Amino acid sequence: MRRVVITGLGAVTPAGLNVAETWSAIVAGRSAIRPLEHKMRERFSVPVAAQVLNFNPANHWDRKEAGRLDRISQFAVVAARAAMADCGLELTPAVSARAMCIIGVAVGGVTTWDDNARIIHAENRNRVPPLSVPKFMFNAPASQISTDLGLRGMCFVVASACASGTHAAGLAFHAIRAGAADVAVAGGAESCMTAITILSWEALRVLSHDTCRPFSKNRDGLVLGEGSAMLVIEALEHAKARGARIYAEITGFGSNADAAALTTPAPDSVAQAMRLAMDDAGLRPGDVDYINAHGTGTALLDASEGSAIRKTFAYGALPLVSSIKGVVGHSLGAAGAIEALATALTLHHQIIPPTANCNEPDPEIGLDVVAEGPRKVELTHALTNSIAFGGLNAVLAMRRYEP
Amino acid sequence: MSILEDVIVIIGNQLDRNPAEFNAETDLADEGFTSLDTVEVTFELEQKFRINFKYNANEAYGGERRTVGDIVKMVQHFITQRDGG
Repeated sequence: MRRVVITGLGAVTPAGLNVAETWSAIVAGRSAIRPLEHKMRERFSVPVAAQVLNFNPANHWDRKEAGRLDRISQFAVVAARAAMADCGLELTPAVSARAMCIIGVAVGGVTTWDDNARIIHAENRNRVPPLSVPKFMFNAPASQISTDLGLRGMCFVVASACASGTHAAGLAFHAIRAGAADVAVAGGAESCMTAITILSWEALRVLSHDTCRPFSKNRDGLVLGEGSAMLVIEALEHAKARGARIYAEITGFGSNADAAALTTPAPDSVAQAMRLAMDDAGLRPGDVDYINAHGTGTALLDASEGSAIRKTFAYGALPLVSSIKGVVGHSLGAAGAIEALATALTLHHQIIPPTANCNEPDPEIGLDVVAEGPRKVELTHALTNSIAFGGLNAVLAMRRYEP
Repeated sequence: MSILEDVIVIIGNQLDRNPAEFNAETDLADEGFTSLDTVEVTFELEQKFRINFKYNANEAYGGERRTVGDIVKMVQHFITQRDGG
């Protein structure tokens, strides 16, 4: 089977409008969580969010073209353009025909959906903007990227709530490894700062009152985020043939379902997903140096993930673990992709980003969650975990690239 | 303003171009009009002239829709229909 590597990265996140700004905030543990900016803010209880502020569509499209993309697709296309530029690949017709696009999405084009709900239900009007369907259709981010870049291989959106971005990258990895494609733009996108989404999340009672503190004893919930991250994933020989810079190698993907509760994680099942990824990569538990955790900052999720990690690595050294959600919040369908990007850069730069805001590491988690700040250590193998509502788990295994 | 003038303004806005560049003979495809432009202009024309193209039932209108002049004829057709003509 072919080896598969990451050769391009692109991002639009609350921590920055590109990869460099995003990574520097993540590695410094500099939180992008801020007071929520929204015209209906007075009607919300949640006071904070991790929003992509200062994103100006006019920097990327003319007025008409920008209006044809929901904000989720705007993020997705800008991140994908950046990733493609970063990887330096020339999309000849032959390359394009074998170039896939798989994008993870959890809630989709909800800005368009929300606006239309207001027109129809609040304003009692029947005429909604004419291109609403192509804006909110779930596959819009993938279709817009494919059209914008000219990717003509297999293209679709994958939906597995908060694991979507990880599933997207994992499916692309498997397809390329098996020879079904040579290159893929894979990642996730979300733009969920709408009244319907925010009030619905409030109703679940999982949002923090002030900030996201993963693995901290005083954690009190997650903070909604938005944004997009895209990876260019490529067959190693394809990347080498063109002298591409390689960030990291993807070595395994494991994914399963709890088949139990929709919103309560099952530690045994999460542990099984990690084992599936390690088996796929040919790793034993002792090989794993670092885990980029799902770590949302809710009492339940962090405890379950901690327990799953302790169980998986019971017979050897525990890997170092950190969550970047204290910096970028929880961007649902984009989260796994932003975390895959962070994991690739962790291996590339050989430095572990801290768990920002973890000012009181919870002894019951029983892991070194790198709370004090970035840590420079030698790293070979890493996992990145995603644990989604609906009982869906997805784990990628990555390796520091060595020829 | 005549229907032609109104249609030209709407099409000029849609293409982000000066309406003075357009006349009844302008071929829309030649000017870069896409299927998405058609959908958006349909919406604008309906608003402007308070007509209903009975979409999907462009079939109900058998005329051409190639030039600006064709669009004017189509608008006129649906205005007449609206007014019970």
